[in-house]
Amino acid sequence: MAEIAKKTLEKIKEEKITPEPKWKFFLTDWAYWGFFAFTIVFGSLSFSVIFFVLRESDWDIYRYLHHGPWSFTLELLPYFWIASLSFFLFLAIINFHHTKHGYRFTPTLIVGLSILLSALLGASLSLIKAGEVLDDALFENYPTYGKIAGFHRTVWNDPENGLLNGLVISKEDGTVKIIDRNKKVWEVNCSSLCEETDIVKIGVPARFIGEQTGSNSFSAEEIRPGKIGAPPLPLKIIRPKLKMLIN
Amino acid sequence: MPEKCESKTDEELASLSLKDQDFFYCLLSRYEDRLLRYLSRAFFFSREDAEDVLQETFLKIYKNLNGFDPSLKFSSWAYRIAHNESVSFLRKHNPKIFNTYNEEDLEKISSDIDLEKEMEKKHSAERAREIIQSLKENYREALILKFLEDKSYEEISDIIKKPVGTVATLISRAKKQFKKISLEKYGGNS
Repeated sequence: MAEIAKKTLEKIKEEKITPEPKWKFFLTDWAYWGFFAFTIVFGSLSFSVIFFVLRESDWDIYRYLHHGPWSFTLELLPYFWIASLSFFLFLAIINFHHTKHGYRFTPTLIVGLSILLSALLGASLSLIKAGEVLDDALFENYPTYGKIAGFHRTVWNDPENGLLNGLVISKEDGTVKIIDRNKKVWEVNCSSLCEETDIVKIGVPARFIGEQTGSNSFSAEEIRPGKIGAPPLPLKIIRPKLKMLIN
Repeated sequence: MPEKCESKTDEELASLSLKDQDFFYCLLSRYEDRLLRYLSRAFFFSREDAEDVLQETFLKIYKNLNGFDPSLKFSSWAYRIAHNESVSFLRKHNPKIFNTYNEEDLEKISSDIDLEKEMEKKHSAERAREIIQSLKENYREALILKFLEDKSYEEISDIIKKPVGTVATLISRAKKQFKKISLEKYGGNS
């Protein structure tokens, strides 16, 4: 006679213990898959912002900031998003491991698979500018984000070190007026440069490398296009200015 | 055990247990001795502690019958639940160690690990008992599952929820540690 089996059966009958319903197990398993998918999507968004920052950053302007190329590169790396990506990858790995057969895969394989999935989805999200929109929204709405992760944007608002950025609001005989992200109007002397290039157009953002000559004046030696919405001028600043110029 | 159970596989009994508790009794009867032995060997439980853990294991099996994954062997699933219950019991309590290995078990382990060449046979069982006791818990469990419970790497992987490669590494390291302790304690051939 199997004694413990007998005792167990008696306990089951006495305490009216019943098996847990099937849907509970089904739901638990799918919840882990759901959380896994959720963390991969968030990891992908982080990847997409990382791609955006790496692509849009001006890696050659360290010369104007008294930085060496390596220290500038280290400063420009999107640490906040790298940390966020690592966090979501960590959660993805934990969730995958808890799925029904997740334990059969080695941690290295799960990490590799999660990185690959996040990178592929992140690249796809980059195509629809998800990273740019997210970075833009956070930068505009949360000043702390700008301090932590906005260096790729704020680096161009440094006239003392010869970097200026803004929306062109007028253009006359080698002088252009721009409005920067702090809504300050600057008079930029660009001599013949402004005529030689078609970058400087009213209502279009532009970036200037040169020297600050007064409290609101700047002398440009090089001009680079500023993409609408791209760092350092977010869409939220550009849209109302464009409207104002059109009206 | 009712006759109607004899021709049924464990997996069939697990499914039938949901409709008729007699089938569940048959299933538990098949596993009572095996799991009691496993609990004592792998976790050094006293008879009383092993019985307590086993009853909890049986109750968990019943409560989770609907969650049984048919892609697994029922035995792997039952051993897994016993393993989990033991780990949780060890966490909550601090039970005394009961080394209840019989000579036959110890000789089997020594022979599987190829230790007999290094030890005199007449002392090998007693020494193997001491070595097993000083092994790390996960190493000991891997050796027990492989050599005394005759589980395959895949089954051990399903029981302890680790990849097959990790199981192979665990067993290989356990064997190495077994031999190392044997050499350190008793030298090469005495």
